[in-house]
Amino acid sequence: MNDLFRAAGSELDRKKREALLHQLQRVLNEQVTQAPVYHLGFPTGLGPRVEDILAGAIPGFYLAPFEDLRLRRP
Amino acid sequence: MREPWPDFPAFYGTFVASAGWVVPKKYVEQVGEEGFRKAPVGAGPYKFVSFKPGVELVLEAFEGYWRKSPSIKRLVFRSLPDETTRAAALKAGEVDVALLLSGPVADDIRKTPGLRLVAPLLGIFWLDFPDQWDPKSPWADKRVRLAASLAIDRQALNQAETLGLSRPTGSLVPRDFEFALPFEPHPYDPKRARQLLAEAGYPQRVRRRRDRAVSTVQLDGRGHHGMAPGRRHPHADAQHGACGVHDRVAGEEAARGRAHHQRRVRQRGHAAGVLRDRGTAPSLSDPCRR
Repeated sequence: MNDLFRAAGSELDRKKREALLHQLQRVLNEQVTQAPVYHLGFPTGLGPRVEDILAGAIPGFYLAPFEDLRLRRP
Repeated sequence: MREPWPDFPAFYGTFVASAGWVVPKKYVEQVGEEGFRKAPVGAGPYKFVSFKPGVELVLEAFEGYWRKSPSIKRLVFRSLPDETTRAAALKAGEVDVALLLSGPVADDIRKTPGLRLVAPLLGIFWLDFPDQWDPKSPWADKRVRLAASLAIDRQALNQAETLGLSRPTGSLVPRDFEFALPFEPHPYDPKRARQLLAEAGYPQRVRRRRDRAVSTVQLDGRGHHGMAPGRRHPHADAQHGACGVHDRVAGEEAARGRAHHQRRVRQRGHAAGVLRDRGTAPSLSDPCRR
């Protein structure tokens, strides 16, 4: 796994890099090195003043860029 | 760099590592590390105003930000470690956004008129087996690790912890990540899990004190990745206990887990487990097997 990780980390050819990373994921899965549970849906409560937090605007992050956050106009 | 490193932009240009911070060199040299901590200056859309550790961080909009002027002129991040406190503050109108609510607390927010619950997909939660690299550890045996995975009822966990808003997965890598391979999660199969433990040399035995069958494999306390510090999945503990995999919990952590689990059982009648004390390392076990 370490060899695959190192090889993928310095491989510039996209196809070869993809093949290495796929192989690495298959090994992790087959060897049950971890037991994945779920992709967390991050439960977030919003108050009435919030117009939108644009959840997911940054993939893998729970809020939009802060400058994009908006409140409802009174 | 001495060799190609295609991950360089992701490592330094995103929050994956948060390793690349743009700061003013002259200012840092002038005030030093300690001074910078007290009055940091960066390149973002907000300016630092004040920080009280464990209490709040206050920011003000930087109108000259290159991308756009922030719509909200003042941001206050309050530190409210307890989720019921966060939810109460939201309901009282003291805060506008409350992060990471779970189970009944999230459900209460969802049902409160005027409030909304959203659930952006964040990271993967997984159970780790840090002792698997020790050849003397039970976790070095793939069958034991597989048993632990088969002992997790992911759908039940998802429902109890995040109201079904998470996505059970068999992969460590989110599906929308580049180069991700999707894997289906292992099914919940306690019978097969117990069989695998027996095959691996950890057969069930009768513990006279409780007069019930248990196995002797134990997960260590580091196993529940992704939770807040010291927090674990009591439902995962219960499911593991039902299959003979006993998660050790200690001290304050145990008390928190006990209260959390018992609350779930009372409110939902959902979990099959009860908590059983064993000194400072209680285990969750399946009452139907007692």
